[in-house]
Amino acid sequence: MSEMDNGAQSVSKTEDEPILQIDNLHVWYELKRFGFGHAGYVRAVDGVDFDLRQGEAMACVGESGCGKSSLMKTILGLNRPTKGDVIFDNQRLTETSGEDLRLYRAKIGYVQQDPFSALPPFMTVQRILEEPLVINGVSDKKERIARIRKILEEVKLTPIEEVLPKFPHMLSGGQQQRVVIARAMIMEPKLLVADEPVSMLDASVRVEILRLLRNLQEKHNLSVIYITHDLSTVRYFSEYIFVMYAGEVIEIAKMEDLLQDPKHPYTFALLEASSDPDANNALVMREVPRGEPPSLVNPPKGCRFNPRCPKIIEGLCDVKRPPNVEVTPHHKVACWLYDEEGMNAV
Amino acid sequence: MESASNHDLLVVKNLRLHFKARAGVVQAVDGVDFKLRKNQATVVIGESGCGKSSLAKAILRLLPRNVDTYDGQVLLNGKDIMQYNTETFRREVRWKKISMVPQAAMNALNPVMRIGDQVAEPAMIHMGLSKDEALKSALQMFEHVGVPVDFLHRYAFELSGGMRQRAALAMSLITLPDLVILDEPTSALDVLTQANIMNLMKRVKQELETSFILITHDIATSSELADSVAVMYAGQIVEVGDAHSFFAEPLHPYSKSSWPVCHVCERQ
Repeated sequence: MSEMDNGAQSVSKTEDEPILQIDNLHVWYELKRFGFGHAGYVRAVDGVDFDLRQGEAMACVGESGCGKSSLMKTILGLNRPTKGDVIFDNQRLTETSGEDLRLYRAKIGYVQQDPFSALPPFMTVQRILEEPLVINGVSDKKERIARIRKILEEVKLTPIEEVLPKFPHMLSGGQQQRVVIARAMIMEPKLLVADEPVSMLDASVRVEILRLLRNLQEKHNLSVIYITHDLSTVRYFSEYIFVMYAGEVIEIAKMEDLLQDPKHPYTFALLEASSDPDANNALVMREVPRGEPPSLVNPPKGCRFNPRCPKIIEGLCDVKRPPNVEVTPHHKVACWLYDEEGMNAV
Repeated sequence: MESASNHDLLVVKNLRLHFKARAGVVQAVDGVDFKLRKNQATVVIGESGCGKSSLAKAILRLLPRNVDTYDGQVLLNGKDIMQYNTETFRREVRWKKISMVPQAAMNALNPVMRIGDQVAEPAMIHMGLSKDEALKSALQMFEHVGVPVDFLHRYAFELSGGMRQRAALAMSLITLPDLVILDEPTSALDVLTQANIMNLMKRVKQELETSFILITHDIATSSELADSVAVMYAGQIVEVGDAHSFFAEPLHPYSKSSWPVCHVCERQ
């Protein structure tokens, strides 16, 4: 309950000013023929819009190849937007470069997917955590050590004295992920981007790491973007969820609304496919849409889900791009089924 | 003395597989007992490093060089296959009776061989079919597992992950074995593809009356196929039960600790 109150408060305080605005963002990669000559674009992110306020967590759900990593890399400033913009902390990414871009990046923490390959194998935990501080100009050694100790305590990597001189391979998967989180948090960022932070970990460790992230978020009033393909972990997090398919956001809603009452046929299929453990599962077939996500070089006309959609409206879904319909407050879905024109066509 | 009834396809008794390592002996499989009935599926659940893949290798006798101890009993249809010599084991058991889809099999397909030829190969070697006959049964298997028939003539890189996994499954089924061991068959796949593959295995189980041992760390997915469940921890099986009682209430502390992540819709 207290959790919910906190969330509501921080929202009302800064309601008018989102910390992160994604404004009609397009990220296209150019395909070359024989190393030169234009051969089309991979439309990894194609018109994404959303806002994130201070202290909120947003989960991004989608299958591999739906563009969620491209979106994340663009937010981190590693990709340039093809069209549209990312506005973070009143700073436009398209107008930022050089030294400003470095400072921009320092304000965003990044938790990688695979902790083992994200940590340099020949550096001790102390050096790994010291590095960002050195780069960002914290020249006082004592202060650096003090901040490292503080952050290690927060991510519960204790006893600190024993952890500091260790190399990554001497730590377990869960501990490694804690080091990665500590490294992301050490510059006291305003936004944390977590890219499948638990998918490489064992089930029994996952909950602890997710709870840790949630605690950090509440304590520091952090904004978090949590990227995952696994709907069963999002409930530990996130006020909001958005679902991506083939480069587009197809549904965005409050976490409970989306899990209890999904609107888009694709969201529905995702929820249907992610099972709760139940012995009766073995007795029934699941209704899963056939086929695979489309190529992003040449995506289907109209709604990109239409070739697999069980509720397709012929002559509409495969011709015109669906509008964003606000079904209930804070619950938007890009689907003809909830639009007047679509309802009339049925 | 033998308690193996006629319904038991596989009975494993006190199976041990230890490896020699520089730091000492690794007790990867340490006294494992379980039974598998005909046309049933057992799920082996455990964390990475708990020995579940070693268990599969121990049953199929696919051993590396640094084996320290390898003993116990594996009864297949009442016969102790641990007593077979290497050649008999290869001829009588592997592929014919038990086949296996190893971890990441979809990435292990031969890149310079057409998918159809690869799938047909075990049928030629182990069932003595001619190439044409083998290709014909490969075609049938492709229909069973839902791979379009013209994919027979394609190469692995032309297929998506889900299709390659299906092809690997078709290969393991082509000799019509009694038992198929699947090692993490869906862990590298997307949610929807995962659900498709699990649907497919349910259908194969009904149509071909195959038994399965499914090795996984994903409790929710495992419930899609399981008739019984064995939870493995540190080389030993710590909880065995039929699926209904296990998924209703896991008992061992380890099973309980990995439980709360996998429910979708309730928030703690």
